[in-house]
Amino acid sequence: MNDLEKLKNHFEGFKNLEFINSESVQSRIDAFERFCQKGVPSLKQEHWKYSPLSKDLIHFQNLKFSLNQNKSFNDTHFEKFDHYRVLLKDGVLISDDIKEEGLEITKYKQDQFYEIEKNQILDFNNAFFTPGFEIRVDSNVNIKKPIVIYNYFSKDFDGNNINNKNYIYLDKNSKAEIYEKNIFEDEKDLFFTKNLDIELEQDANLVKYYLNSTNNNKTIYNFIRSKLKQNSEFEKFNFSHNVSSCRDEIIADLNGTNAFVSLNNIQHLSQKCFHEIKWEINHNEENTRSSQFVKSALHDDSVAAFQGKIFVDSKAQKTDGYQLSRALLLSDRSKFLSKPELEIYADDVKCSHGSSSGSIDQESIFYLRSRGINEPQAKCMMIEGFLAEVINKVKNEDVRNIFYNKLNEINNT
Amino acid sequence: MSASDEIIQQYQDRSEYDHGFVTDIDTIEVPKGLSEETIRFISKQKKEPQWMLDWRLNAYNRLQKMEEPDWQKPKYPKINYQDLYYYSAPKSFKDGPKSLDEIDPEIKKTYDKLGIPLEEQKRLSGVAVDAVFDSVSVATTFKDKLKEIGVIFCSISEATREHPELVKKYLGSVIPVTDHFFATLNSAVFTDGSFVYIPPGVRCPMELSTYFRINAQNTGQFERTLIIADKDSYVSYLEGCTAPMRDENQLHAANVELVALDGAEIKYSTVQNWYPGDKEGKGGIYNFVTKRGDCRGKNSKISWTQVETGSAITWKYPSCILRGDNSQGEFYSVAITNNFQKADTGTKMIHLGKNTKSKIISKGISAGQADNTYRGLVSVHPKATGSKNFTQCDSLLVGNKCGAHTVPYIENKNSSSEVEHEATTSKISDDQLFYCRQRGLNQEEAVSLIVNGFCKEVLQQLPMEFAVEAQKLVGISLEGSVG
Repeated sequence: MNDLEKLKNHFEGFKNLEFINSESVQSRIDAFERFCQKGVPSLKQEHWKYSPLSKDLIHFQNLKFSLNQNKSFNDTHFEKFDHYRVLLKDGVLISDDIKEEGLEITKYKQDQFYEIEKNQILDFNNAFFTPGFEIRVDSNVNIKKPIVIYNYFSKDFDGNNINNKNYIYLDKNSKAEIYEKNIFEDEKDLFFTKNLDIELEQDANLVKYYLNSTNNNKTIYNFIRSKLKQNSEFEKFNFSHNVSSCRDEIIADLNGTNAFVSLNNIQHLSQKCFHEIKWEINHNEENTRSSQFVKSALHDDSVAAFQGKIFVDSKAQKTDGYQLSRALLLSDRSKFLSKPELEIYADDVKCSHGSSSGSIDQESIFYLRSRGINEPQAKCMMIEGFLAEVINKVKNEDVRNIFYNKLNEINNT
Repeated sequence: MSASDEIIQQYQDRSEYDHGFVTDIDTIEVPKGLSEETIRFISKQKKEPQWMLDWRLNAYNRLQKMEEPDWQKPKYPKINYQDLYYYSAPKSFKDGPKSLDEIDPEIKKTYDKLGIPLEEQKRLSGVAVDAVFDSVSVATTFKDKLKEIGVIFCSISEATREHPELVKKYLGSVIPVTDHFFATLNSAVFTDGSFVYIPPGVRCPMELSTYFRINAQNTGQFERTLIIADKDSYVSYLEGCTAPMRDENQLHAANVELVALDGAEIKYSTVQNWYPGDKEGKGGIYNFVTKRGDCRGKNSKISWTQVETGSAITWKYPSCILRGDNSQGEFYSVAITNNFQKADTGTKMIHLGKNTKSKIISKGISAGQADNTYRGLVSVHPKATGSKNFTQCDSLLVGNKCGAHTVPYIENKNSSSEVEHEATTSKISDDQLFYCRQRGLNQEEAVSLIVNGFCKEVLQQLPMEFAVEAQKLVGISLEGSVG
């Protein structure tokens, strides 16, 4: 990716592709120029410190974009419970539009993009994206069935770069639950960036679950920007298991009083996996609340990084911000890096953060072993108990079971 | 005006800088500007050996290729390094004072006003003073007594002449010449500072203390302090600063290096109350200091305690490199910022040896329109098995125009180590105030009491002599609760 000339040629070819919305071309050109100016992320840049992307992108010297014409979808991946299906194959929306009960799911249509100063990968995504989904929920509508998004990466895809952009809009006093999962069919190299904008109007309520499970040789960048108005709530649960290289970045702007955001993440990593979380919560109005909760279990040579920031504007009195990250280091070679940051300009606030890392408590292991449980089992129990604390907070029973099953599956292998 | 506004107002109005006076004495000064010539001049004035000059010039050459760092939170106007004086010494001490009687009465008066225990009868018992007036040590007391037990306590320039083998071996071994812009600048132009060597097995019987003082206008102070605690020795070192009121910003870029060998312990305490600028944020000192301790030997310990109340911009991170097995590092800090003051301070704990321990307690108090940042690093390396760290940083906000920030970096790279970090931000609660007021305290006293309680954990770490001043500096009268 460092070879800008090559990349420029790549972009020239890309922007003339058929599927590209002609109105977005200028925005794409601007975004690409910004990317060229900023260059590829490096570990020396504070915004990309600790990021696996900074190292990984060197492997992607030749980006290759491709469109998969085969729209088939293996239905063994479908979840058993009743839900709305959104199918994305190799980054492109292939399922039919859904229009019912005040819910509308269509192809991504936006053509204006914003810039974030230090984030050049966002510019890259804006230049090269293929349209993903756009979900709109009308006011006063409570979507009963969860929406499930399948991110399916097929083995017959012959490119190595996928970028997509998505949008979720919840109108006043509406409610929705979204579950998203990644399905990888092969172990080819892939650089995937996903950009999701979320807008919640007054009293809207969105819960989002994300299962980012086992993959090899995939470099993933997930970016979410959410804007919350008065009394709206946004909850997010991530389960990351053995993702080879991934950065999850979320910016949440609490722009209305009583808005609430809760971000939760489980990381269960082994081998050489590297998962990074970068969260930024901006309390811009009074009486806003936020919570960040991260638990990591790290085996082998895995690395987990957590960078969470709570920003409190001088207007945002009575803010309640909470952040906790805990990690279990289960091997001598695993690493946990963290930067829990507070930036506060208001005096009547309650903000706290905690971060701890260490190994499994030997006394608890002893307790379990003295009751006839062998050591590996005792360890599994400890890890399960440690991570389950996050899963217990999941309100949707189906999703909670998926997460539990995943955890059991990991422990049994 | 509501009750709470009133308290804030009172707090902000805390006594104007009462050490703001200027002593009129002649000073010999080098022509302005940073150049090889200036460095040669300084070296000559200090009667330094050739190797020291070469060392300085090496630093100066490196400096040409370096840029000022810009990652810190407080931004400052560009400093014109060619517009600064790099050396100034009281003229009447050209040949150095030989005894207390030779001291310029003007300077003596200044110290008296500050209450520095320079004269024996005024000194708190057991304190030896190496006072730095601008850039030259004017007097060193208790030297003989220390000499008896083999402790070397002198100015750094004297040490380069008298103990070159020690200086050569340790100078720049903790903060390399090439470390960063301000450290390198200091290496090139440092003028004075203290040198301490504690021989093996010696427990220094008294607290060693230096009072730094910035006086001449436009003179950057570039002290260099080097403390070496040989095997199984102990030393407690105090550093305190007051500076007179000036309108122009003055730069202060000191380097402090500590080396603790096997079983040695160094306790380094600082009270800093330099001129913070006036209420409109005009003037004040830029305090860009590099302080670093190296626990080089097994079972060694370095402890930093600081009370930071002065300076327009404070930017320093007293750090510990825990190299020896079982070594310990501690950092206790109170940083109080008011009006337009900015503080970006914290620590680095680098765990390299096995079973190393570190503890960080940081208390930040922000009032007026000030910004207070804790920035720190705890890094546990893969080989530092069995290490432990505990970090606590609390911020207290007084008023709604100030800011409090926490930027910790935590890196744990082995499974047998435990790293814990916690931070809170709060304001003085109405309940606490109400409780105190109900018991007959006035608002100011109540705030004082609460703020003192907030800092107590750190203030307790200060030696007795300093605790008194720290108390005063927290801006409040507290009876018997510190010590």
